Amino acid sequence: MTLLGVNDVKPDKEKLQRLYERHGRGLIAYASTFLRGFAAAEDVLHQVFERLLRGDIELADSPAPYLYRAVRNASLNYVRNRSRDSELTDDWLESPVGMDDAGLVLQSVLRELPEEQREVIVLRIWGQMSFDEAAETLGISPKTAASRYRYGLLKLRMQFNPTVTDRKEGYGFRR
Amino acid sequence: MDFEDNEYESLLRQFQPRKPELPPQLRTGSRKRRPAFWLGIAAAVVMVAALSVVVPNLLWKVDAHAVVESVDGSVNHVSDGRSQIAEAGSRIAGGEVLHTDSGARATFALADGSRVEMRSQSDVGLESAEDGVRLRLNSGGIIVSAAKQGKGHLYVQTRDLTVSVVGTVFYVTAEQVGSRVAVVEGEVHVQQGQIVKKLSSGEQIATEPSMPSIPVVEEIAFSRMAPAHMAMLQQQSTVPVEPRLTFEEISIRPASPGLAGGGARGGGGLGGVGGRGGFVPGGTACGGMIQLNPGRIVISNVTLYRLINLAYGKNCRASSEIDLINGVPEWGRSQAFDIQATIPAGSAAYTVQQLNSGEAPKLQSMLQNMLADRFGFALHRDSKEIPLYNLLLVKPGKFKLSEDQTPPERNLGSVATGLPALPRDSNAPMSRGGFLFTVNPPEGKVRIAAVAVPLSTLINIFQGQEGRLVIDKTGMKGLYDIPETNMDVGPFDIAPGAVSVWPEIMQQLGMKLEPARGPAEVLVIDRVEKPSEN
Repeated sequence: MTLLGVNDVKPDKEKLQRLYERHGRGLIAYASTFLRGFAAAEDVLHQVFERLLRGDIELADSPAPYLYRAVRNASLNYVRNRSRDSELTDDWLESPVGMDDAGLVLQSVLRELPEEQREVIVLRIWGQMSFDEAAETLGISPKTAASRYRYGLLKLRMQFNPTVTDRKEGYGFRR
Repeated sequence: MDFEDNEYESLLRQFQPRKPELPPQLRTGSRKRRPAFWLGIAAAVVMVAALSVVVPNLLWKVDAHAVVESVDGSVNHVSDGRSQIAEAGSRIAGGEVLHTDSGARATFALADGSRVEMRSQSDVGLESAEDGVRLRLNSGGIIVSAAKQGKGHLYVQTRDLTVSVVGTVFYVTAEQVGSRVAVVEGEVHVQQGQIVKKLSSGEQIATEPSMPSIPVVEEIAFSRMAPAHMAMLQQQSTVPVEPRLTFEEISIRPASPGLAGGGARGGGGLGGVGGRGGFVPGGTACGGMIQLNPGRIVISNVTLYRLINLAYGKNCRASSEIDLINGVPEWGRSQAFDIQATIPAGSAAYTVQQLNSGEAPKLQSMLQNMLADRFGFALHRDSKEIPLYNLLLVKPGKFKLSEDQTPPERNLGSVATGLPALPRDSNAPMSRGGFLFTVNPPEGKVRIAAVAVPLSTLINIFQGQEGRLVIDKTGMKGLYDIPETNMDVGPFDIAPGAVSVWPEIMQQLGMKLEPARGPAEVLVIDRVEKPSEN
């Protein structure tokens, strides 16, 4: 049983460690769009990387979209299998200094967005993907990804726009 | 995608997803070995095989196990992919791994009596080698006090080098970009690929030229045995060791409550799901006042966070905005201290501006040693990729290289932190070292003038303000004059959440702020405590 097809070639551990270091935070953000907290998201990531280590999941030259799809599938499985546990929530976003509560609010606002918009925002912002990569991950066209992103960002901005009182001193000269 | 979207994206990216722990299966020490490693092992096997003809009893079974001697903080012992808490007395067998979390450290002893100290965020696997024991340093840093090896060798291996010893004290760090070895006592052999180098006391080597050179004393400061190691280093080093620069007398007292910008956050909190506002700002960790004269430094109302920035030449606002210092306890950001210290006669003289800009190396060393001695402070350095602005010179002309390049007279006055104080009477003639920067946000006016100042003076006004580190790529070294320049950049506000006017200000000065991403140094605090009594 595999997530992305059968592959007998096991990827080497160093490569996986590098992938984990590089994409870990983005994948946590992505898993957290389906799950309700960091612990569950980390569980899912561990499951996916354990399968990668066993060679169950095939990695392409450009592994990010595959990784994110694997995490998406594993997250949805996780929700199906552990719906009660997933009601527990914990923070998965760290706030910048001086905006301690803002991360929690951002998490909440993200959760209120339609899933299809939330996904593409997370892939762009924290997965650092281009629209082409986000589209490949989600199996949609780049134009659709861009459109979902724009609508999502608009809604997000209306709900989450920290004001001067949210920050301590690092604000700049702006108009 | 318009510029506003970019700004908003940039704001969102300041919220970082938490970093997940590595899955246990990826933490084990068994890694695929690189060809260079095999070459090294092949050489060792050949050597052992050759010796075995003459001295057959050189081939023996090595007892690769260790016992944890002390643990500070969260330390895990990973065996067969399962992680459990390590305590003093825990036995680590060959093939197993010890891992220290953030802020933790541990010491373990090998069967031959060698002692290994692990700094925070380190990962060490224990293995049998063909002729001894191998410590596989996957990440972090260790100090090895190697016992005299009777028949074999003790090896420390990172992903890009192998250190072999017969009895010595040395430090090894494995970072993302490469590895570094520094010798405290004795000598070691360092193999990188097919090249083997001998390192003696006080010497260090890095596998990547881009890795910054860090004084050995700083590298080993996390150790419980740091004073002994440092004394040994001073005694035995074959290369000159910089004398330890310290203040003569130091007084550290708590400042009046609340002066560090409040510290404790009261009331407020979340505005509810989807709500806006209602946040209460945290303490002003970068506040404080510095007075500096030839024999004395007075830093009032300063937090540990600001002190670390001063001591290590960082811009406090940038560190705070971009999260470039990790592991500072809550009190370190909120509790303020008043510090007075006597600077030894004959010490290098600096201005407050130089200290704020990280251009006062001797004074910074004294502050670093004050932190180590009075706050029990130790750190290590890491790096991460962050958003940057590359500052480029597009149209020269606004800045004139000063005819007199000698440093201006010492600035004996005090400078409040944050934005530099603006001269009240801007019509008065400006002396060397003078810098005028005034803004009228509602009318969108900006005025700038300077005499004999480095470019860093201007950069420091907005360093880190945009959530980006500004990297000076103008190549403009030395002191500059800026004839008085009045700019009209359009109405703006001093607030976050809108479009920055800094790119426009810099453009009118003939420069360009080019958005980019790149590596930045991160200071990771290994150990700190509240200051000891005066």
